[in-house]
Amino acid sequence: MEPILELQNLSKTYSNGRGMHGTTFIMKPGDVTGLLGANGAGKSTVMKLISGLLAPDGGTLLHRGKGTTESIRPLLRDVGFMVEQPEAFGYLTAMENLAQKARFYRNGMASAELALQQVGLANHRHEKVKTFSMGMKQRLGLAFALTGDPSLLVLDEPTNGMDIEGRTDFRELLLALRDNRGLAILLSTHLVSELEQLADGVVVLHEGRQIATSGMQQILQGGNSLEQWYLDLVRGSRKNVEVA
Amino acid sequence: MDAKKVEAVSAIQLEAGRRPFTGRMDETDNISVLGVMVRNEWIKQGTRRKIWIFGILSALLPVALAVLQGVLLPGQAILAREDLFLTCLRLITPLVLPLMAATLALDAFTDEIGKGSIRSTLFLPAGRATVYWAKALSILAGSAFATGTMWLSSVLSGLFLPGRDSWLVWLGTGLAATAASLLPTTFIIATVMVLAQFMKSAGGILVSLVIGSLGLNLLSFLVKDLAPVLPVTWLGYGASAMTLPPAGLLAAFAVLAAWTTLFGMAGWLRFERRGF
Repeated sequence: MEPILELQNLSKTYSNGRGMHGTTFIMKPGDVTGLLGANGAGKSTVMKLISGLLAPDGGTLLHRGKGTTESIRPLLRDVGFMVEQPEAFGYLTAMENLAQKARFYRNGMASAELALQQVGLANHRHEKVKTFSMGMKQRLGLAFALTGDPSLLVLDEPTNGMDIEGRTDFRELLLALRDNRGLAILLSTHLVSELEQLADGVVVLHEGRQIATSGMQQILQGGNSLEQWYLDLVRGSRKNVEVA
Repeated sequence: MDAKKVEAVSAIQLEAGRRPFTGRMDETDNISVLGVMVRNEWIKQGTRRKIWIFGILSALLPVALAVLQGVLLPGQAILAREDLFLTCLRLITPLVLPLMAATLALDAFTDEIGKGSIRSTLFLPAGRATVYWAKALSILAGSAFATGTMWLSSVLSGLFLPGRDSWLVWLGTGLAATAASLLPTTFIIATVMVLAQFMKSAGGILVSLVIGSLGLNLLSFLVKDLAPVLPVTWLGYGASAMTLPPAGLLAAFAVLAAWTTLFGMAGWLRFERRGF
């Protein structure tokens, strides 16, 4: 199966010396991969590099086997993004916000309508976004990412601001989208339990480096928990640095 | 939402004549990316109140002048209908039109970057160059809208004023003055667009514009030879530029066009490379 996305040694260094170095993983149709790491580990940087919000200093980003340096447009057509706190246009309605993206696709408006239904905002489609709660804005961000039938969703802390029921609905929606449409999902979250239920693979980032990549089944075999596996990994990495 | 609900919604969608979800949208949608982006920007601009306030003010000015003449100076042909639009344009070109252009440019760049909604725009399948130039076109269209509203209002108000020349001269003068006023406006837009790539605060950009303008005026006063190539020399003419002799009009056009192109391109190069 052809990968949708391939990251090969992708790197970015900020002016303060921090950043993300040597990120390498692939996303195939139907993959649900979690990016796990503490604050400042580089999760958002990886997502911004994929979305083109940041330009990489080194490495390669391939979308369906082609580099994105010449044009990022095919990638943006094919991938739905929700990076950091999604900021919609407050003075537009929910539907008008989605229409901004839908107009780029022949059947985009139908896709936007469906996305609003899927995230449970269909009844609020004509309300201005500035009146939305944080949880509603998160859901609208997801609807924006879903507009245009992407084959891959890139979601950064997508359940921030959502209540327990909202999180459960969100998880069920993502799994349904994966099962019914073969949608691939790359998501970062602090909530290890959420990742344990959603992801079938994990990429662990620590202090700007990728320190592990593993399948969820491998991690959980023998009664281990993702949390314990992650903590062992990060503490081990810290000890190695101290010894060196 | 569970799988059954997703299936149900997909069924509704199929009934509506849409193909089922099988992955990506067709790559051959054959949609004009720049056209969609300009439309998006225009909708955002039109949803805000500012452009309508500027439009209404622009429309009211000729009416106010015509009423003033009719009420205060009845029977006196001080303001002929041919002069109404040009007079109004001369009134708004030095301050109101640049302020409006700057406001629209600040909304399109500084406001979106500051609030983070620029990310939503950059996630659209358009590319940064298209986003940048669509914003520029949309701001220019907004400025032309205000000028056009004023022209239309002048034509209607002028019906109640005494005339001097034929209708053709009247309309032709109006169009030439509009074109002459849009070049300095385009320069202002390009200047704000380049400043917005380096500065975060709208207030800071406006202060920079004022200081820059004062500085360049001082420079053109101190170094006379430099004056012809400085934009501020020609900005002041605004709508009156059409009354310049051909050589002066050409110089005004060439200098302002060169600076506009330079600033527009500089802003674009920075916008292409910066991180968000």
